[in-house]
This record gives sequence, structure tokens and C-alpha cells, in this order.
Amino acid sequence: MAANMTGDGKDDGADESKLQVHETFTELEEVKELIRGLENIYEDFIEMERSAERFRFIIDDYQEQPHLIDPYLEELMLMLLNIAKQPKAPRPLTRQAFSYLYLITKMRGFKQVVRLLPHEVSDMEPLLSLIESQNPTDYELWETRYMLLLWLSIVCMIPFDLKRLDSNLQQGDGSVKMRTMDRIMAIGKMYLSVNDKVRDAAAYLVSRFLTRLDVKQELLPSILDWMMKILKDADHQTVLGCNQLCGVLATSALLFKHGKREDLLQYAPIVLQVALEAKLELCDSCVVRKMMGKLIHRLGLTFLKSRVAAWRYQRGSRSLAANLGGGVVKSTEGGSSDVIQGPEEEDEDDDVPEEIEEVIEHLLVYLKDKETIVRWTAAKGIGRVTGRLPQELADDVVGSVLELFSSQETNGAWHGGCLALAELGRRGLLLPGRLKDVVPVIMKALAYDERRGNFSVGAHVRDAACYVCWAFARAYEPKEILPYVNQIASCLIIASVFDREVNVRRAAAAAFQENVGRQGTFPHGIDILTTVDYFAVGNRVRCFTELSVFIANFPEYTQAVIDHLAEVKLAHWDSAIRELSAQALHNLTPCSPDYMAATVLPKLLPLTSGLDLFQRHGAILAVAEILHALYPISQARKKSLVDLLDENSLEEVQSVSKKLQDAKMFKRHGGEYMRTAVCCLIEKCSLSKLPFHNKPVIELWQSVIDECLTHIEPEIQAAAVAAIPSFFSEYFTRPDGSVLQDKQESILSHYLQELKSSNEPTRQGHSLALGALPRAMLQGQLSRVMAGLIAVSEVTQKEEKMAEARRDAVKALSGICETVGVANDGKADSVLCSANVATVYSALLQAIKDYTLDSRGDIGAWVREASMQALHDVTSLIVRSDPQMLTPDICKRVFCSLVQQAVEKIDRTRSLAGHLFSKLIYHSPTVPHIPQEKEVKDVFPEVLAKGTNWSAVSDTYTMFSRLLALDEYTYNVLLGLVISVGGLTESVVKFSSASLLEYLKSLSGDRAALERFMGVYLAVCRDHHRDDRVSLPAMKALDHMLCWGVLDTLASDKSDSIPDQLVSHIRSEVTKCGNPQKIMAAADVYCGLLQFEGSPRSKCLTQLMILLCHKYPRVRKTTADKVYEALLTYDEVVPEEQVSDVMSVLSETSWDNLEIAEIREKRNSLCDMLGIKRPVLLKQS
Amino acid sequence: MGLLTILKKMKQKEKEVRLLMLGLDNAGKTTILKKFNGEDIDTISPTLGFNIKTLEHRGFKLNIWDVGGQKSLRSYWRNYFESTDALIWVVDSADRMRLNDCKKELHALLVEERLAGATLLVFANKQDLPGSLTAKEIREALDLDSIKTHHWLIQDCSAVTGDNLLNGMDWVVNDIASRIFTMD
Ligand SMILES: Nc1nc2c(ncn2[C@@H]2O[C@H](COP(=O)(O)OP(=O)(O)OP(=O)(O)O)[C@@H](O)[C@H]2O)c(=O)[nH]1
Ligand SMILES: [Mg+2]
Repeated sequence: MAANMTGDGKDDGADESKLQVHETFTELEEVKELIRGLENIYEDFIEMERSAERFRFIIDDYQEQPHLIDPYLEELMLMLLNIAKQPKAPRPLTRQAFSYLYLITKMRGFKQVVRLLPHEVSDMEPLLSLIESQNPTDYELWETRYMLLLWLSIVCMIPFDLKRLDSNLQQGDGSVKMRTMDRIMAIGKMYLSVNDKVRDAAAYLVSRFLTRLDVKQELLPSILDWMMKILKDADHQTVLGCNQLCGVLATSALLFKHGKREDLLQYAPIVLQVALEAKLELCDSCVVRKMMGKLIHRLGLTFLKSRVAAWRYQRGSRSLAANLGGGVVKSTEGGSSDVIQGPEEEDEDDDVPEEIEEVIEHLLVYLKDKETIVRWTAAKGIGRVTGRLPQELADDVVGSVLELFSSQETNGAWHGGCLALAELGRRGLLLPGRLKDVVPVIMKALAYDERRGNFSVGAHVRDAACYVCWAFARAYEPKEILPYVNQIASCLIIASVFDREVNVRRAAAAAFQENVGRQGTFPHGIDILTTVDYFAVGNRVRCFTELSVFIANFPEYTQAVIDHLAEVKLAHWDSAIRELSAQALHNLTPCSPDYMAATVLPKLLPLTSGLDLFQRHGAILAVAEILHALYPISQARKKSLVDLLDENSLEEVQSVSKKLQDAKMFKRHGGEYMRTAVCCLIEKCSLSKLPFHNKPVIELWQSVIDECLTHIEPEIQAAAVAAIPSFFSEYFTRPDGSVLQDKQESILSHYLQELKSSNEPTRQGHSLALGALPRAMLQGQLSRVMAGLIAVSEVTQKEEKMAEARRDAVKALSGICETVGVANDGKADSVLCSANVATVYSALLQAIKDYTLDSRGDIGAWVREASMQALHDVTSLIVRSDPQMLTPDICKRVFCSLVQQAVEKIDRTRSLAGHLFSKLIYHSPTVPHIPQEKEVKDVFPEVLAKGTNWSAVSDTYTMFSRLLALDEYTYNVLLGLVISVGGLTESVVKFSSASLLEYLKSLSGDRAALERFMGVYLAVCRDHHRDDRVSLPAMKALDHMLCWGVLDTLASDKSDSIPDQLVSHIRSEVTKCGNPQKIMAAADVYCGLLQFEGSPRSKCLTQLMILLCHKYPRVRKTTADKVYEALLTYDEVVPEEQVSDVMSVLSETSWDNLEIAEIREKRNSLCDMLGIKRPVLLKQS
Repeated sequence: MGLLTILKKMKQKEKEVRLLMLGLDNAGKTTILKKFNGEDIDTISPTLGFNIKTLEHRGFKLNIWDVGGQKSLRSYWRNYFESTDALIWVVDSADRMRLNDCKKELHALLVEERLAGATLLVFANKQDLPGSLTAKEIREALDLDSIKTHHWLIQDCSAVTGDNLLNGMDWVVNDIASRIFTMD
């Protein structure tokens, strides 16, 4: 049995959006066009495939709302049929037409479609010939055969003696043609044992055909014999045997379904006997078992006369909407004597054939089958057959079904049992007297959850239990349900908000709605169902934290909701459910504070040290949450929390941690859960000011927190960090707010010491812990703490990889600033002030330059992001209290750093930078000293800044690259931008290049501006000399700029021109460089710089000639190729008469294969032709 | 298949109704069907097979089966009984001669097990013809008052003028809708 793990558990409300909802069948014209097009394209295989793909796509799209096609169904079917039925049409054409017919049939259901197929007497003969000409094993044409057999099934319903078609059986050549009846039967028999879907159509056809009066008389007995023989002989362990069995079982089940009962009754006993003797419940094929279940059930119905449910007009209308809307529709208008109620009492003394016992017995076996579909069939069968039994026997069946609900039975049996009860219930076959047995069982099933380690099975049982409740709503008079209403209502509501699986929550909500609508007796039903509806229950967090409270506010449900969470859900196998339950109990406490304090807490406390890990975890969390929720209530009552609790409880709360420790539960399996739970308990007890001051428990808690801080799991550290502020404030400060100095000293020195640990998680945990310290703990010690954190935030060679520790230190630094607050002339040891503000900023602005790489990638990005956030937060904090503390220099660096991050290559970083930048320029109160504030705000108007989606590549680059024009920002924008332009990610390169190009175009004609820009470019390059993170992309970016032709206005007429400087810069980058990527990038740039006459050109040529003899063959080859291309572009570089020689040397030499001496010779000849000095080999040092 | 799937299927099925229209030949069944469907009623010939039409009416989808009524075809009516929600019995109110036949055929149908529980609507058709019998007279002639097994109504109407056809259909749909849907 497959584990029932539906629902990802996290945010399961999201599946709504995937549902495609249509209003009408909008693609009608397109579909018709595809159909008409077939006749033109059938010879073109590819076009046919394309058409098929589109057709399938459209039709599939309506799978969920097939009825939308109904208005056009007939028209489309006929169009297709007209193409498909031509006997002489080319095969690909008819094949595709039939395949389209099949797709529509599959989507809409064959019963709907079959009605629309033509069924005149004149259709018979051509159709038969067409079918007879088919090859039953041609696997490409099964759709054709399927549709043809379906078609035949409606044509053979003509009310017309088939003999009338057989007037000319005697052929001209003396042979005798087969009779129509025999031809149809032969077709049916043949296709009944095939291996494909055509078999289903054949079963339908044969069952239909056999119910004709004439056929029944002539053929039925012999066909039944034939089928019985197959049932006896077929070997269900072979594929062929299974095919045959499926065909025969399906046909006979349909036959007994459609046929006239009185006609078939005579055959039923023998069919039943043969079928049961085949022992097919042992067959591996669940299709065979399902078919068998169907047949038994239909046979059962054949033995019994049908009865009409007498109460069906009393239980309201078909659809609930009508009930809920305008009250129950009256069956007929009164006064008219035309309408008469039929007699309701059937005579009870009908004979029940003995076979019925066997039928029921076997259906009960199939009801426990391991496959759902088999159980389903059996359940429906039990419902229908029981519906025809006299009351007493019917009740026996109910009794047998109830026996399935024992702890020894599998979850499959429980599921089948629920389905059967639902089917019986909806038919009114569960007598009201049985409700007292049935209701408790269903309530158990509604909570069925069989734990299997880290998951459980049972969602299907719970779903089926909802079905039972739904069925009850329809079948019973309100007065019969009344004694159980509260119980059923509570259980359904609980399932609808607290089940782990979304489909069960929804099923429960639907069942609840049906009960409210038809019973009207559910307490506060309407109020609840309008809030707790299908959509609302889709979101689990909302269910636990909000809907739970809404429901518990109705007194009838308060206790049930609380008890369920406390007794069941807190021990759930999924930790997310336990946590949500604890939160829910917090929110529920105000609904019934005294019950929580006096009953729930005392029940939970012993469980906090129980044996079951899940229960222990849930119980500790819940105790913590409930205490925390009780605290404000005690305050409001002007009492202490202790007064609300009983004495024992307080003691027990205090001893929870000790017991766990004594039992070594922090270390054993599941210790992580215990740690987080106890941290939560510490936090909530501290917030609730429990009087544990100076008790031993405080020391124990301190040690729990400290241990968590070194734990490798971030969640565990986070739990400890979350406990720190309230714990230290409550237990390590005096009532006047001053800190206990010995505690302060011991904690600080310990934590600061741990910052230097060689274990990264330890550093992280203690950084975060320091960042969370309450204000009192920092008084007089701020500088020390800051210094400690700053030291962690710095990149050192040895600890380069500890980026996460650096990130956490940066976060902590910002955190303590927030905690201590700002005072311009305050003391550096207690508050953020003019004396330490520069230190903080310089640390943060240093951290934003963290570009550490390792095997995980750009790990520095974590630090940079933390730093940006911290810069924003600290700046915001300062301007809210004293903007004067910010110097122009600090502000400039903050804004320029953000701008630079906003055009770099990582999407997430860029988006955060854009977001923070726009927040800061429009901060309120305003941030002082924004460089070129007015111009910046012109580029980023307020509405735009606030409305832009900064994660969109296009917007971010376009806006920020405009800042290139602002002197204050040019350097940083360019520094960021070259990295993107010269990077590797396609979309980033595309959008950043476009932005750069746009800016450069705006400079065209303004040589001074261009020179200024290139000056900044050179500055960027020099500042990052040989820093490949920047210098390599910068080179590539330069290559782009040269290619775009936007630099050609640069002059090279005097020495030390910009092109000259570029050449020498590139040269300095690649001398003695071992990175072939970079050397080849340099070759590109040299080639591009050839466009500048004079010294740049000759220097570049020389460099290129040197590269032609580089030690890496690949560099030589690439250089030769590039030079070749460049010389084609800049044709004035080579003297006219040398061109062809130069080009042939470049292209015909195998630069990567020859001996170096030979290459040098070739190269030197090139130098001579180009008129430059031969490079001289420098001695290797 | 969980409850939500069952409910979804049921919602669709609840909106679908199967009506079987029978009666002696020449009673006007096909004319009624075509009139409903807004088709031309001048070129109707006797039905030698059967017609199926799907109509939308008051939010329900009505699948109406009209089977030819000639004597030779009547033994095949039984092929169309399954899952019928209502039987519409059409009577030519001017055809006094065959009223007895008409009564016999109708009562034979009503004992059919597969039609048990179906609603019965009798259309006293051709009221526009002079000399046609009234609904009351037909009711007596067909001994409708002896029917205790089905909800029934007799409605006078004319397929040619369209008079009262809708009244009859409204009643049928209403009667079907007002009993709970059992999906059997
Ligand atoms: N005057 C008049 N003629 C009608 C009316 N309804 C039907 N007819 C005529 O009666 C004749 C038979 O009508 P059909 O609709 O073919 O009767 P049917 O019940 O379908 O007959 P079969 O198909 O043979 O069973 C046609 O000539 C119709 O025009 C009516 O309300 N008034
Ligand atoms: Mg007709």
C-alpha cells in the first residue's frame, strides 16, 4: 500500500492558481480549421504531427470542464466523421480524423459522444464493411477501431429487425453471406480479447447488442456459454488470460446492468457460480478484480427486484444550492389532483434467493481489496444490492460492514468500510437505530492516522469518513441525526481546519456544508461554513492560527477544538503540525483561559518528559505557548500568573528541563527537537516573568542556550537566539533595569571568546547571540562587543571561507546598534554616537566589498547582502534620531556602494540593492548628503522608485546606468556594470550591455565627456590591477565597447592618449599571466585597438606578434584567427602590397601544431611585412 | 477518488436529465421534439429509428430520446429504458379510435422495473384540432387515476402551436429536481 503523503505540507493553498478555468470553448474556430486543414496536409508528416499536437493541447485543456464543448460537439463530430468514414480516403487522413474523434471522446466521455453518432438503418452496412476491413493488430489504428466499435454500438440500437437487412444473402457466385446479426457478434467476440482499449468498446457493443429482443432470443444462450467457457478456462496469470477475462467480465457486468432483469434472471445463478469458482480475488490484475466486483454486484441486483427509495422526495432537492438558496423545493404544486404519490410500502415478504448471501460475502472481500478502485466498486455494489433487500437482511449487511472497523484490519479495510457505510447511508439503508454504532466508528475513522515512522497512512480513510458524514446529511431526517449533531459537527469542523492534508480539510468542509444545508441543526452552521469554506481551508497556517480561533469562539466548539489539539495534534508525526498546534493553543487561550490553566496545562505537563518524542516536543511547545498567552490575561485581571496556575504546575514547568537533562534527552535521538522546544519554553517563561529568579533552573537554561549556540543547525541556533533577549532581561537584570554585573561579565567574556572559535557555527551562533543581547547587557561594554563582532566580519586569509560567520557578525552589529540606540554625544561604550559611528560604517563598508569565492560560488554575496541591509537599517536608525551624525563622506560611500551592487551580476543582490537604494533616497525623515540628490531623484522619480520590480533585469540596469552621467556615481556604477557586461549570464550580459551602449551613444560627439568616461574606466582598471574578478570582465567590456564603434572619436594623436593608456594597461595585466582566458581577452582588445593609428596600433601589433609565439598553442591559434579577422576589418593596417602574403601566412600556418622555432620564423616574417620590430626573446628569469 | 471528486462528478450529473418520449405512431413526438429545438416542423416523416436531442432548460441539460411509435418498433422500446428520469407519453387527442391501444401500451410500460421511479408526463397533444378530446377526457380514457407508482401529470398541448409545451417540461424538470439525486 502506497504511503499516503499527499500535500507538501507547507503552503498548500497555492494549487488554486494552477487550475485553468474557462468560460466557454474559445478555440472552436481554430479546432475547425485544424480539422478542415487535414485534407490538405495529410501527405506532410511533420505538418500532421504539428496539427495533432495542437489539437491535443486544446482538447486536453478542457479536461476539467468538458461540458463547455457540448454546444459544438455534434458539429465537430460530424465534420470528423465525414472525413473518417470514407472507405477510400488515404490512411494518414482517416487515421488522424479518428484519432481526433478519440481525443474528443476521451475528454467528453464516450456515453455523451456515442449518442451523437449517426444511427440510421442505412449506416449499418457500410459501417460493418469498414470494421471488417480493419486489421485488429495494427497498433497505429487502435483509435480508429475503438471509434468504429463505439459507433456500431449505437447503430445496433435501431428499432428494426436485423433480418430485414439480410434479403440478399445468396451471392451471385453461389456463396452465402453471413447474416448481419452474426457479423456483429463475430466482431464483438474478436475484439473482446484484444490487448488495447478497443476491448472496452467491444464489451459495450456486445452488452448493448445482446439486449436486443431478436438477438436475445437467438444468440444470448450460446454467447453466455462461450463467455462461461472463457471464465472457466482462461488463465489469469497470463496476459492473454487477463485480457480475455477483462473482456468477458466487463461484457457480462454491462449485460446484467442494461438488460431486462426478468430476461436475465434465469442465467444469473450459473454465471455467478462459474465466476466465483474462477477464484479471481486471487488475480494480480486489479482490473480483473474490479470487473469481477462489478459482475458480482450486477448479478446480485438481478436476483432482487428493484425498489424505489420512498423518501427521495422528502430529503430535499438534487442540488444543495437550491436548498441553501430558496428553501426546499416543494415536490409539486398542491391543489392539483393530477399528481399522486406512489405507494411507499413495499411488501417485505419477497423471497430472497440464497445466492445473495454469496454475493454479499464476496463483495465484502473485495471491499478490503488492496486497490482503491476495487474497494470502490465493491462499496457501490454493497450499497445497491442492500437497497433491494428487506430491512432485516439489510441490517445484517450493515453489521458485517461494521466489523471491518477493528484495529486488526488494514487501513484498506477501514477505507472500504467507510465507502460502504457512505453508500448505504446515502440510500437510507442505515436505520436510525444503527446510528449509535455507526457514529463512533466514523468519528474514529475521521481521525484515522496510522503512524509509520516519519509519515503516516490514513488520509484516504479520513476522506472516506467525510463522505459518510456527507451521505448522512442527505439521507436522514434532522430529528434522527439530532442526538449526534454536536459530535459530528465538532469532528467535521476539526477535520476541516486541523487535518494535515488539504484534500481532507476540503472534504470535511464540504461534508459540513452539506450537513448545514440539509440538516440545518448544526450549531452556528451558516456562520461557520461561510468563513471556513473550500478556499479558506486551503491555507494550513491560516487554519491553525486564525480559523481555529474563529470556531472556538462559539462555545459549543471551544473545548472540542482545544482538546483535539492538545490530545491529538501535539503528538503528530509532522513537526510542522506540532508547532502549528502549539501556536494555535496560544491563540486559543483567551477563549477559555481557566480551562487552559486548570485542565489543559496539568494534562500536558507530565507529557513533557514522556517517552514519545513527538508528544514530548509538542507538549513542551504547547506549555510554553499557553503560559505566554495566560500572562497578559493574568495582568488584565490584576493578578500574577502564578495565581492562575495551580502550585504543582509551576513546579513542573520549572522541572521540565531538568528532567530532560537527567534522562539525557538533549543528546539522544531527537535531541534537536528538545533543544528548540526548551529554548521556546525559556523565551515564553521569561516573557511571562515566571518567578524563577536565582533558581537552579536559570543556570540550566543558560547552559541549554549556550550549547545551542554551537549547534550546527541554523534553526537550533535561531531558537536559542530568540530566547536570549527576554531571558537575559528577565533573569539577569534587577527590577530597576540595571544588569547583574557578574553575569554580564561572565557571559560577555564567554561569548566574545567563542567568536574566535575555529568552528564556524560557533562563531555564527555567538555573533547572533551578541546581536540579540538586551540593552542592559551592553551597557558599559559596547565597544568591546563591537570590536569583537567587527573582527569576525573581516576577511582574513586563514578564515576566508567563513562567509556565513561574517554575515552573521554584520547582522549582529546592526542588531546591537538598534538595541542601544543613538545619541550624538553619548558614551561610546553605551550607545551609537559620534565617537563610534565611523567605526560601524567603516566595518559595514568593508563588508560590502566581500567577494570571496569558493566551491559554493560567490559566498561573499551573503556578506554583501547582510551589509547592505545593515547599512540601510543603521542609516535609517540614525536619521530617525539624529541625522547630524552622518557625515557627507559616510553618505557618499553608502549610496555609491549600493549603486554598485545594484548593477552587479547576481539577481538577488541586485534586487536587494535596488530596493534599499530607493528606500533610502526617499526615506522619511530624509537622509542628508545624498550625492547629487536632485539629479538622482530625476532619474528615480518617487513613484517609479517605489513601484519598480527590482528583480527584473531590464528595469534595474536601465535606471542605474543613467547614473553614469553623474560624476559622483560614475566610478561605482562602472565598476559594477563592467562585471555584468563582461560576465557569463546571458540575460545579464544582454541587458547590462544594452544599458552601457545606450549611455555611450548619448556621449557621441562629445569627446571631452567620452575621455572623462574612459578616464574613469582606466581608474577602475588600475584600482583592480590583476584582480581577475574585475580586470577580466573589464577587458571583455572594453572589447564590447571597441566593437560597438562608440570609442572611435578618441584621439591618439599625442603620446599618452587614452588608447595608449589602454594598451599599456592591458599589457600590464597579461605580462606573466597564466590564465589563457585572460590572454585571449587581451588579444581581442589589442585587435580592437588597432583602429587607433599611430603608437596604439604599432604597440598592439607588437603585442599580438608576441602572442603568436605564446607557449600555449591555443593562445597562438586564437590570436592568429583574431588578427586575421581584425586585418579584414581595419584594412589600412597592412601596406596594400603585403595584404595577400600576410593573410596567407596567418591563415595557412598551423599555429597550434608546429615546432616553436618554425612558428617564430613565420611570425618574424609577418613582423617584417607589417613593418614592426621582431620581438626579442627575454631571458626567462 | 476522494469526496471532492465525487462531488464534482455529481454536480455535473445532477444537471443532466434523461427523458424518454414514447407514444403511438403519429402522436406528434417528433414534432414536439423539433418544436422545442426550434427546428422546422413541416417536413416530419414517421420515425423509423430514434432521435436524440440535447437541450438546455432552466439550467438542466435534457437528453431527450424520441423513438418511433409504429407497431413493429414498439417491441424495441425496452432498449431505451435504462436510467430514465422521466417518461413523456404523447397522445394524439384527436385519435379516438386508438385510445384503447394507447392505454394498453402505457400501462404495459408502467410495470417495467427499469422505469420504476420515473416521473410520468402525459401530453394530450393536438389540442388545436377541432374535435380533440380534453385532457380530462384523456385522463379518464387512459385510466390515469389508477396509477399509484409514479408521479404523473397530464398536460393538454399542441405541438404545432407550441401551446403549453413549456408548462409540461417545467413540471417534469421540477419534479425530477425535487427528489434527491441518488446516482444509481
Ligand atoms: N394539428 C396538429 N398536428 C400535429 C400536432 N403534432 C403533430 N402533428 C402532426 O402529426 C403528424 C405526426 O407527427 P410526428 O411528430 O411525426 O408523430 P410521431 O409521434 O413522431 O410519429 P412516429 O414517429 O411515427 O412515432 C405530423 O403530420 C404532424 O404535423 C399538433 O399539435 N397539431
Ligand atoms: Mg416520430
